[in-house]
Amino acid sequence: MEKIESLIRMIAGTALLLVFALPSPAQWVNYKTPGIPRTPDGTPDLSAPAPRTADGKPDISGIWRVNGYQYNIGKDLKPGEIVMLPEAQAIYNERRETNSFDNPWARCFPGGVPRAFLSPDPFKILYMPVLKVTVILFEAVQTWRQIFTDGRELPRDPDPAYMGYSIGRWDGDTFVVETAGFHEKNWIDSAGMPGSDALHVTERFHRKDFGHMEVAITINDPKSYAKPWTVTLPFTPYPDDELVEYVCNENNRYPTAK
Amino acid sequence: MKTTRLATLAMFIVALAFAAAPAFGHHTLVAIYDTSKPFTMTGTVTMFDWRNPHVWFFMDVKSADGTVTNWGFELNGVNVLRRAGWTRDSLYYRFFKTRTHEKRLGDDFPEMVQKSVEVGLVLGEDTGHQVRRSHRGR
Repeated sequence: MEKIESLIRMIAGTALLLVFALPSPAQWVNYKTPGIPRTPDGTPDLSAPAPRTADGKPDISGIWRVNGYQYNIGKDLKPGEIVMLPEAQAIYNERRETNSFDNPWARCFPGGVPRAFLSPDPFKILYMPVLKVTVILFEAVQTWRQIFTDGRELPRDPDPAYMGYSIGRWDGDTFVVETAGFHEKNWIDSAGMPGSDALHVTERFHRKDFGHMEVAITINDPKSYAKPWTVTLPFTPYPDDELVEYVCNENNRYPTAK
Repeated sequence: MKTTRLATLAMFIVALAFAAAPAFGHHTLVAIYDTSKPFTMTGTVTMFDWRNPHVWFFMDVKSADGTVTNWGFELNGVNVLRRAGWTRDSLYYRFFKTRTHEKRLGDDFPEMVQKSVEVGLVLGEDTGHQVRRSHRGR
């Protein structure tokens, strides 16, 4: 047995380099997403015109990801654009000093808005003009948003919620979403910028072409910030893939450490 | 049983530098593990726990004095690993390039504080890796 093991060990040692031959990402699904403009060799044509819905608006539906803002959503802003009020700054400092110990997302609670976008995991936007609602399914922690487009107003005194309450309307070719009704436990991003129950988020979805959607997100929270601030995130399509079940509570052993 | 035989193989764990990107879907690598202190570990895989939000595997590691400790290795989620080409059988068929690192100070799991080391595993930029001593240690 020992001989066999040492032989296997030797083989294994030489086989180590094979690790580099691991399949590259996004090849695990063998189905092509229908309705995607493609170049002659079959790859998605990112510069093709944005698809349109029956009502003539740019169709923002599909699986998307946001790359590069997973930790600090404000990293591209100039100093002074985000001014935290003292209480918010104290909360933020504590989250940093404790290594995000009370991070709700790490404890399987929904990511909130806009943080639910700020994951390496994809999400699926379903724009449904007939039902007059847009639904976003987030793979991360398996949560969702519904954005009502039937003309209703934001509720006056909604029950505080992780994902808030959202309404949407069109401003030309831009889909504008207003969200409020959060509770005070929100994290704006994974660095822990706070959001209070006064948080009001405006998102402007502008799909420039098939492969590029800019989403301008305005954070207006007078209890946390001295003035509203806006970041514009690039959304990238995630074609030929699908959402994966993500039951966060199943195996969440050691989510955080101080 | 070929699978069983392979599963009991000694795993070769090789320290490897990787970009210290703190971006993870679920929780943050650098918040829990000290990625600046890599080291190497070899052992026998005892369990592969293929579940979200983080996949774990467990490995018996023999120390110099002969004591065997069951360590837990934390990876990224099923979703990320599947897209990177892993399957729930991966651990039986593949060897990994890994990185190991010490646990950060302060922990809400006292039994782990006594073991001052943690182990990590890397499969490339987009896959996870992080390790802890097994909660169910022997």
